[in-house]
Amino acid sequence: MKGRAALLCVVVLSLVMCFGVLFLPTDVQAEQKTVKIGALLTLTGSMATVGRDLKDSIDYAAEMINAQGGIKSLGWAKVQIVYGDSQAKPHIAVSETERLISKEGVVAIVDQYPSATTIAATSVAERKKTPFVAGISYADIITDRGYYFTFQLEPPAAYVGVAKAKFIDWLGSKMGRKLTRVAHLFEDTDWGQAVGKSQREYWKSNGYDIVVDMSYARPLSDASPLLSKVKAANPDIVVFQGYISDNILFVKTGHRFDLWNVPWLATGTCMPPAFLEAVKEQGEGLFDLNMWAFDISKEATAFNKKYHAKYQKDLDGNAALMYQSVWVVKEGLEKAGKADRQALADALHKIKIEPGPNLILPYEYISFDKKGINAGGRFIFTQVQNQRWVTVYPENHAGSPVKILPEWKK
Amino acid sequence: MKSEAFWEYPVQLLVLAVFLLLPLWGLSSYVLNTLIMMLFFGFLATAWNILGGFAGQHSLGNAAFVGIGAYTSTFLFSQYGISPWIGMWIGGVLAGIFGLFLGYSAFRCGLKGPFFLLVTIAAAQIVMLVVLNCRALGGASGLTVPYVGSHPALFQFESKIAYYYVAVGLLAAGILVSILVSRHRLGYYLVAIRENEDAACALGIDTLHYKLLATFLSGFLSGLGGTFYAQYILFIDPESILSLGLSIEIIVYPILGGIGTVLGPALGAFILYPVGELARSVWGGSAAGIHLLFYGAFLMLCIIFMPKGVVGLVRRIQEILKGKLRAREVEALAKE
Amino acid sequence: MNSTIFLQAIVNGLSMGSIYALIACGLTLIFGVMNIINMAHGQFLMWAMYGVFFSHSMLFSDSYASLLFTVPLSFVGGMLIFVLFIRPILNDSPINQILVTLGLGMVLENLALVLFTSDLRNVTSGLSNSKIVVGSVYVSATQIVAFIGSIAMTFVLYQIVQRSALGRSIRAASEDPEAAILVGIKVKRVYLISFALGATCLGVAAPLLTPLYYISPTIGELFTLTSFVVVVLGGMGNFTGALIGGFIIGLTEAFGYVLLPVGSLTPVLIFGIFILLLLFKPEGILGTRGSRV
Repeated sequence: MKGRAALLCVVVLSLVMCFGVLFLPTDVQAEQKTVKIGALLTLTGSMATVGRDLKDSIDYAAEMINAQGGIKSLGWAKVQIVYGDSQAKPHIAVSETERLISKEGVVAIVDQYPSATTIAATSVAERKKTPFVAGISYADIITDRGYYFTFQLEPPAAYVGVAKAKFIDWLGSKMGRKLTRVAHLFEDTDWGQAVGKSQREYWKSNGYDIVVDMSYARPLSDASPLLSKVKAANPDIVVFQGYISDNILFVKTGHRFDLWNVPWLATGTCMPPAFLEAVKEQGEGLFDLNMWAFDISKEATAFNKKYHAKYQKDLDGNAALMYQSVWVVKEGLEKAGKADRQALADALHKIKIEPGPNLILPYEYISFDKKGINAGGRFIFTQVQNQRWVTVYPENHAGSPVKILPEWKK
Repeated sequence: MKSEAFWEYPVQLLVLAVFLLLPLWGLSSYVLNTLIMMLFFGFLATAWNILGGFAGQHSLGNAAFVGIGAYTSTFLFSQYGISPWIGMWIGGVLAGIFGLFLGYSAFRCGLKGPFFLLVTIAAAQIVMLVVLNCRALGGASGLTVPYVGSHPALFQFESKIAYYYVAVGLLAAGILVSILVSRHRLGYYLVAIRENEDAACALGIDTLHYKLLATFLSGFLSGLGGTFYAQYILFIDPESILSLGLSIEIIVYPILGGIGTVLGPALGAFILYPVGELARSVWGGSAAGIHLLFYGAFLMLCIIFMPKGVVGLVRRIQEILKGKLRAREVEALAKE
Repeated sequence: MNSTIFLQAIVNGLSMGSIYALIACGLTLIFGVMNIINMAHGQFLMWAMYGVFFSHSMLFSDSYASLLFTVPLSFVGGMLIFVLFIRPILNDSPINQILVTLGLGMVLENLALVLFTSDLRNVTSGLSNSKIVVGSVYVSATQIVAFIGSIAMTFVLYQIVQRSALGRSIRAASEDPEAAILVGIKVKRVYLISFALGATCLGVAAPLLTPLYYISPTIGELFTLTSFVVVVLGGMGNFTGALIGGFIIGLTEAFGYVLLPVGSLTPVLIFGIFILLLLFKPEGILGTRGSRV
């Protein structure tokens, strides 16, 4: 008995040793000549579609920075991106954040959604005193904790409700009647619920009639029970918050129920090229809340052209956010003047990025308050026209007039 | 039973000493994090093994126990300011009671094998869905543990090393409980139930009673683990702590290490967790999917080729060696 | 609840139920004959759906025509998987079998991710845009095809198992493998064929499903748990049971969304039914204790 136990323990010991050797301490600061920036993406799992798209835009941002020679105030140091795969799971996001910070020695981390991984990863970054730019996630809890090292690029969830309601008002005026009967479908995780809450409050106090208000568990296996309820309620517009695979089912099933006789408005998750690829002509006329599109300005069109030449796809809103996130870190480093995490965080609290070559998003400015919220963020609204996302609202950014489908005129 | 003093376990104590001294090596916090998660999963696997290994009742719903523990202590802490050190015990007991409830219903109805497994999956799914829809528990947004900086009385530390020692302590306690169970009458009864429940019943063993005891212990320990997770990550949500994914991860380790043995489950976690971590750090960023492909294949092949786990393999090798030794002795004798 | 919503919920429930039944048929066969809980079933389906996608984009213009391609391919694929991964673990403990199939599922899913990328694919059929509207109840042609397909498949499987010589050996092997060996049945061969047949069911299901869905490496996960519920509900190895079980789950889901105040609680109903059934009638709604296939 003892002999067996002893052998077993020897095995344990040797494994522990091997393990230790494999992971020899590498807690070193980044070298002077290159600056490492971490990117936490969902490269596998249910959101792999999105993660891979965003990787391209981050690579592109690093390439652009390095093409300019690198970061000037750091003696033209080059930028290197190190990727982590969160698999859209919070505890993996925690491990990967740890790895990026202590093993890879990144000066800052940028990340995408879902917000659960952002929430978990930011708490690690806070403890490790590493700046963390939440590129796409927005849920109140991310900024409510008052973390010094967390910066959220998108406006808070409350802005979304207001922006969407204003858009619906405007769309109604274009269609010649007020769209008061709203059908509201949302996925039941933090993001869907946070956005849902903000727009519900706004609609209720502004005379809208919420005829359907339903949550669903992601991922959806069948949209027909939800949509048959929507159909029966006879809405003027369908507003939905879901992730990409649910959205595809909504669009496909919506056609099956002849629900395409009213406008549909998504919440910033329909833009990846894979979505249009999947729904094809059925997506025509769909609206989406968005952060960027190739037609918001001449500069954007030129920018997208170069991007398209390299990756054979349009830069979409989320990808633009990630591009901008890397750029925010770059601006912070320029201001900090050294590749130091604390100095970078201090600098990020002070920067103000104005529209120009450093700000590709249609924002008024980027500047973070104490909690890390950027109040200068604005949304645009895009529509699928001839199987491409074009901007229709606000009018100063609109690349094309809004297309009113004939079916919508009851 | 003969009482044994601690110095009769030199090798075990040596392993413990190595674990206690490891942080002095100046490990980076990434390695520490990996070690902590490894110990944590080793602990959960050890807890699973009490019911799944010793008693042979395979549960695939242990995430529910972990989640109940984590949610209880976090809720008590954030709402009433009760220290997680206390909430931990309440959470553990609640998880154990949930186990009793589940076990009682299932065992009374005579469920075993795959049917018991499916019931535990369904029960854990229901717990997850209820929490998802429960506003007071944060719904899908989860709960954030209020961050208080370094505050040992509130189970929060700035340094990873402190968490590391807590994890070592947890695992040591889990293994101690396993040793006690396996040496105690309870352990013998559980094994008897696993091998042949009808025979055990015929011998007058109150099988329901002992199975429930094992369920409670397993649930209780898993609940403690839940609090540790919450205090370490500082954020819990149904997706990460109540989902089927976690339940699956918990059973992978004991089976790889050696089901129904004292050290097997922890050993499984010590092998497989680093493999997963290593695969991710090598391939995770470059080509999507390769690391999980590798991990899945590794898992599958390990179980196909070592159906009794690492411990089973070690034992077989020992037997072969012993057999050879004996053969040599016989040969030597014959020569004389 | 007005009559339109009620009728529409019945239509939705039956349609979704037939999809669950299509998927569960193969699972119940494997579960019933070999007593293996195949956690990779959803991933098998996903590969079959990619089969539909590739045959659709290369060979056929209609998704239903892909049947000619996916049926033989899934039979061969099932045999291959059985020989490589399932045969070595036939005598292992159930929990080991579960883990091996879980690992297999992981490999299949990530292999698809590596080979086919994470893009979401779409396959259409000539029937994709046709639908029938009665009053204000909507039924699409693709739903009707799935419905008929599920009934037809159940019927065919039932005939094979009850009437043919192969079916007799399948039943014998599932009821008492040792006795079956004694009477000269090659049990391992029967297992091989049953497993391949189980995979073939997915080869039939995939073309019927794809027009209603999208294809991605993770789509299999959508169905795995629910199809287990359906299998147990119907009784292991019972095809008629799987069909009825599928309808029950589909209808529960459809009415859950209509009746419950919080839509996302609907799965609680399904798992609740599942637990009650396991506790009080683990042999399934149609089953009698001890009978399989």
